[in-house]
Parts: sequence; C-alpha cells; structure tokens
Amino acid sequence: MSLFGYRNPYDTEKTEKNFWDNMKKNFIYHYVWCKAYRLMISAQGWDAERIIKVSSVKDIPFMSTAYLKHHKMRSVPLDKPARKKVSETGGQKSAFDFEWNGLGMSLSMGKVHKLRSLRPCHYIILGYEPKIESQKGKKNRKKAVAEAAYGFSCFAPAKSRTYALKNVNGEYKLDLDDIKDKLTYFMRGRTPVRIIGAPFLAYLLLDMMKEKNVRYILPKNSMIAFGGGRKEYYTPSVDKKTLYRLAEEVLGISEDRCMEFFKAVEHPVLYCSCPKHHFHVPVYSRVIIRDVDTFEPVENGTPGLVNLVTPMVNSAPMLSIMTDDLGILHDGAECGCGIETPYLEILGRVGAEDIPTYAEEVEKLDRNMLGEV
Amino acid sequence: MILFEGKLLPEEKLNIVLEKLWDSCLNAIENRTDISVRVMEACGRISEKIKTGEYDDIIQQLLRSGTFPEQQLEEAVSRLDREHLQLKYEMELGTLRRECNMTKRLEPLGILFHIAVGNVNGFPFYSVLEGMIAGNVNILKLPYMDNGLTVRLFHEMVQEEPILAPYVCVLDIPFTKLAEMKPLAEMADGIVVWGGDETVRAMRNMADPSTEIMNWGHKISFAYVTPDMFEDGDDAKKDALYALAEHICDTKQLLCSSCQGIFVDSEDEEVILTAAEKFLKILEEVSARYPRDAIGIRGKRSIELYNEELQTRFTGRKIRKGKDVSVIASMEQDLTPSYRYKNCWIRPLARKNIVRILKRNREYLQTVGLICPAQERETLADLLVKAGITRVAEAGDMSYLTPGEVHDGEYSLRSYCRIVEVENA
Repeated sequence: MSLFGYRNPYDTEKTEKNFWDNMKKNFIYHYVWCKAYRLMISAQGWDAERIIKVSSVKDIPFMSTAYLKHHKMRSVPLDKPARKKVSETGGQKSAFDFEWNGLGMSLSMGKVHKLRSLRPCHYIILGYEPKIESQKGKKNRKKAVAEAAYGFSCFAPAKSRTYALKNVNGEYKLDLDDIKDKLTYFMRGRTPVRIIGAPFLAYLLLDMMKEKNVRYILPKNSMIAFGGGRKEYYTPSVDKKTLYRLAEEVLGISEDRCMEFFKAVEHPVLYCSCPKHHFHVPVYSRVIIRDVDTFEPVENGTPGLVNLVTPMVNSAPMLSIMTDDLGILHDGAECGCGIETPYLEILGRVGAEDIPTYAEEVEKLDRNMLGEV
Repeated sequence: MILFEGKLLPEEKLNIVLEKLWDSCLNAIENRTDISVRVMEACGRISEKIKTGEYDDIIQQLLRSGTFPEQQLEEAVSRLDREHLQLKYEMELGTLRRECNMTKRLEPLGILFHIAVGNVNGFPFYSVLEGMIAGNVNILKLPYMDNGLTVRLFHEMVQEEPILAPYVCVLDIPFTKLAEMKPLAEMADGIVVWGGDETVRAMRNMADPSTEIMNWGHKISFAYVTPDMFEDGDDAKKDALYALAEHICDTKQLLCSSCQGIFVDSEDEEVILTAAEKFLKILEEVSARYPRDAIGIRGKRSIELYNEELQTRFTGRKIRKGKDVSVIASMEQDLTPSYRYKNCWIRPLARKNIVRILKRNREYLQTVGLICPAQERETLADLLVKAGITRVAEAGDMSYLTPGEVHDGEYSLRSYCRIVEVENA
C-alpha cells in the first residue's frame, strides 16, 4: 500500500519499511533527475554506489531552506517538460504523485483530527485570497500560504468563504471589518463557522473585536484552526495562550475547539495539533533534531536544529530539509493524548539573540497593509 | 510600560496616552525653556547611581543574559557622565551658540520621534537623551523585548528634575498596533530612526514628505590591514591583530562600528589565504576566553556555514572554520555585512583601489580599524577618509567612543537643532 494511503497517519511502526523504501526511491530519483542536486551532493562525496548503500534517513544529505530559496532546483525526467499541467500530458508523474499523495494525506489527517464533516460551514480565511499569479521563475510564498489555508477549508463543504486579505486589482488589502460583519451575521444562524489562518491576523481580528466590546457565541461546532506556512505559524510575537483566551472571550470558542496546523512550501506534509496542542510526527515524515555544532542527531528531549524529512515530493529534491528553527522532539508518550509518535516543539528561529527586529516586523506587515490596519 | 508626563503607566493606557499626546507636546513646546543643563545634571546623577550599584537588579540581569558585555556597559555608563555630556555639548553646539548674535539663535527642531531597533541596549535612552540636550520634546517607540531599562532611567531622570517631565514620552507600541504610529510620525518635526532601509522606508510612508528623517541606520565597518602585519615578527603586529579579535568577540559584530571583515592591502590570493589562516587561529584563541554563544547563535552559524559550503562552487569562497568562529576568504571586493557573531570575511583591497571600490558603498561606510606600519598610517588614513570613511581608529578601539564623538560624520546634537533668525525691531 502506498505510504500516503494509510488510514492511520500515526502508525509509524507499521510503516517504517514502507517509509524507508519511499525515501530511498525518492533519493535515487532526485539524484538521477536533478542535475543541481546531483552536483551539490557530489561535492559532499556522494555517488551512486554510496546512495545504494545508505541505510538510514539520518544519513541522507540535507539541504537548507536558505539554499533552496536562492537556487532553483527541479527534478524532471528529460523528456517531460516541467511546466505542463497534469491534465494536458495525462502523465506528468511528479505533479500527479504529489497531488495524489496530498489527497491521501489530507483524508487520513482530517479523519483522525475530526476535521472531516459533511455538514456545510462558513469559512473565514485569515489569509490571502487565492488567484495569486505566480511570478515567473519565482516561488510565490503568498500563493503557497493561500493554498495551505484553502486546502484546510476542504474538509467540510463550504457554504461561503471570506478572506481577510482581499485581492483588489492585484494588491492585497486587509479587511477585518468585513470579517467582523460576517461573523455578526453568522452568529445568528446555525451553520458552524470555521476560522482558519495566520495566528498573527487572528490576533489582530480578536483584539480589534475585543476593543470594540464585541462578545459573540458562534454556532455549535464552530472552530478555529491557526496555521499556514511554517513561518506564519511560528510568528513569535503571538502567544498561543493569549489567542485561546481571546477566542473564548470574543467568539465563545473553547480551547478544545482551537487547533493548529502547518504545512511548508519546502516540506508539504500536513501537521495538525492533537487535543493537547502538540504536533505529532505523522507517517509521511520524520523529524530529526540535530546538534547545533556538529549536525549529529541528538536524543529526544534535547534541543537542536530541526531537520524535516519526507519522500512526498518528486518535483524538486526536498527530501531532507534543514530549517532555521530550533526545536525539541519529545517522546510521544509524554503527551498523553494517545498518539504515540514523537511530537515536535519549536523553540524559535536560530539567531535567537536577535528577537525579531522592528524592521522585519514592518516588512512582514507588508507595505500595502500598513496604511490599512 | 509607558512613561507619559513623568508618570509610569501600564501598556493598556496606550490609547489614552495617544489621545493626549499631541496636546501635551504642544504645551511643552509653548512653555519650552532651556533644559540642556538640567538634562545633563540629572543624567550625571543617574550615572553616579549606576556606578554605586543602585540599579544592580537590572544591570546584573543584562550582564547575565550576555546581551550587554561588561566592557560595553562601562562605556555606556561613562557616556552619561556629566563631564562627558558637557564636553559633547560644548563641542557640538557651543561654537554655534557663541557665534550666534542677537538675530540668529540655535533652537530645537521641536518634536522628535525616535524609533529604536533593539540591536544594542542603552541606545534608545541615549538617542532621546541627545534629543533632550538639544532641547526637543521627545517621543520614543521602544524596541521589542525591551528590558525596562529605558523607561526606568527616564523615570528616574524626571524624578531628579521634574521640570523635564513634559519633554519625554516613552511608548511601548506592540507591532499589532503599528498603525498607531502614523499620527505620531505626522506630528513630529523630525524622526530619528535607528534601523535599516526597511524601517526608513516604512517611516517615509508614514510621515509627511516634509518631515526630516534622520537615519543612524546600518553601517558596515571593517579593518584595513597591510599584508606585512600578518607576518611573524614583533609583538606590536601580533598585539594589533589580537586587539582586533578581542573587539570582534566583545561586540559580537553587532554594532555599526563593529568590524565585519578585513580588507588586506594586496591583490594576491595567496596572501589573502595565508592571512585568513593566521587570523582564524587568533580569533579562535581569543574566542575561547569568552563564554560560549547561546545555542541559537551556534545553530545559526552552523547553517550559514553549511550554506556557504554548498555554494563554494559558485562563489569560490574558501571557508575556514574554528571552534565557534569562522573566516571566509575570497577575492571579492564588495563591502558586505558578515554573518556576525565571530564570523568575518577577508578580502583583497589594494590601496590604489581604496577610493574607487569603497565609493560604491558610500552610504554604508563608517569606521575602519587600521592596522599598518606607523610610517604608512597617514597615507592610508587619508585614502580611507577620501573614500568616505568617517572614523579611522586603532583596530581594538573601533567601537570605543570618545567624548564628543562624531556620529556617522555628523554631530547629532546639531542635527536636532536649527538656526533661526529673529530680527529685533
């Protein structure tokens, strides 16, 4: 069975061999089809013989997110152009596999985390409205973030979708007042509301509503899912506990109806938090925490650099990604939620002495939002 | 914590303070008197108190967290001395004051809005202090994760001299409320920004086009060394390189005046590589005497160096790693920031090219630590100054501040004033 077709996304033990087979296949695939990757790892002493002998995910060379950002890497069989869509060629293997895998993953994760429902709901998406044109040759982060949030809004049929960042003639405008008005309207009905998106925007929204003395009780089964890309999720300035408190206070959504998720461009595995707000590692990936000086893997419970591993992607060699996050992997049993795989705690970004500067934050806000907030 | 009209207020009162601020500033300006001497006196007394340990609860915390090394702290405190400030005042404004006759006089700009970026502790306080000595009404936006030092010092100052209360307002604006800054930026006569290009750009968008923006932003400082200084030989040569390494470890390359890398007066790759090997050893030896970096800093360094290694086939850079330090040698001639935290670059810059190469980066030029034989010092310093450098120092003294120091080629007190003419009837 395909790794991404497993019903239980946390049955890591049973899928160990399957995961490794996929990893190795993926490693060989990229070595063969991505010249830039082949050159990169050759410089580190990798050749076909060594690749065949490799026996552990820990030994697969990793690539840093920063390197990916600056170097275009694409793994494409020579006879198949990269840009063609699935439907046109009927067999653009990489993209096809990716989407199929993604679907399987989403179905299993949605089931375990009780996100799937046949009951329609209103979605409030605290993120970019889709239809974002990719700039040529550039990975568009906004687009990826939009997709992650949009994807999350497919677990239950949508009666409506409202976006916080609206695309007005190609520019993004933050419109929290519209969201507030929609919530006022939804509150009176019986359709559950699902609020999805960046914690930072959720904070802006809830804080604004609190200041205006708005106190709502949203319909039963409403929920909030904080998340988006890896960076969006870990915005250090917003404290999770504050968010839960505000959600309860302003919208009447209790903490157990608040969850988190993340999915990164460079590591598109979906991570959903358990009822105790922990990110357990699903069968589709492995998390290796590495020593900050030597890059040697460390034991669970020890802080280090977060290395994310997955065989999910064929289009680019993103099988082992070194993030610029510091984290700890905890034994699954420590959580107590019942899921047994280890869970990842992110401590923050490296360079910690440098708590995000004002400039970075202003930049994050985006010039077009600055005048609007 | 907020400081407004001499009173400490909790952050929740921000909106109320913002409502009253404009009026309060206008009142202060209408009733403005010459406060320079009172500011300097109050400051001098605070400096004494710091020395006698009255603020040890905060100071010890700063030292423990390692964000404020002892030597830097001493320097920062000494800059608050009454004598130091008097000298600065005399040097920057004194001559102008004397030259002014009945019709011409030196007046403060009015309202200064300071945007502090938290790269170095103590700077926000000093920035406002300068604004006050020049006689302005000051609004300060604290950097994130401020440790409470700034508010506390100003509160003390106002206790010492209650007359100063209307001249300073310290605000802690969370980044979710950045828009609140727009009215502040609009009301200010001058905006003092301690930050990079993005911050300046954001402020320009907020402020009136006519508002003066004074940017003490990112500068890149470096050492300039003649190749013979890397040769084995007398102690003087060795001492200078050790002093440079100490300066790098002391400042962690975080200050505008911190050495980011070394330009060697040569065009020969061999010379650059030898210099890199040599300096790496010195840097490693000196670094070992300091406490180890925090885990996040070490992680950052490891990833950055790993990236560099992956890219060597494009960049041609040679990476030399030591324990907690690194030196990256290359034949590039650009002036760029380093990875900081004891990771510096070594690049060639023959003296004949000093002016033409450095001119390309004139907006970033600041301090040069010059290490060369005594007889060549004048010639080289002259070339560096012609290229746009504003300070040429001994390598170890790059971040050492002299009384009456010039800030990025300007006297800051003067920038916060204007000369007005009032004709007598």
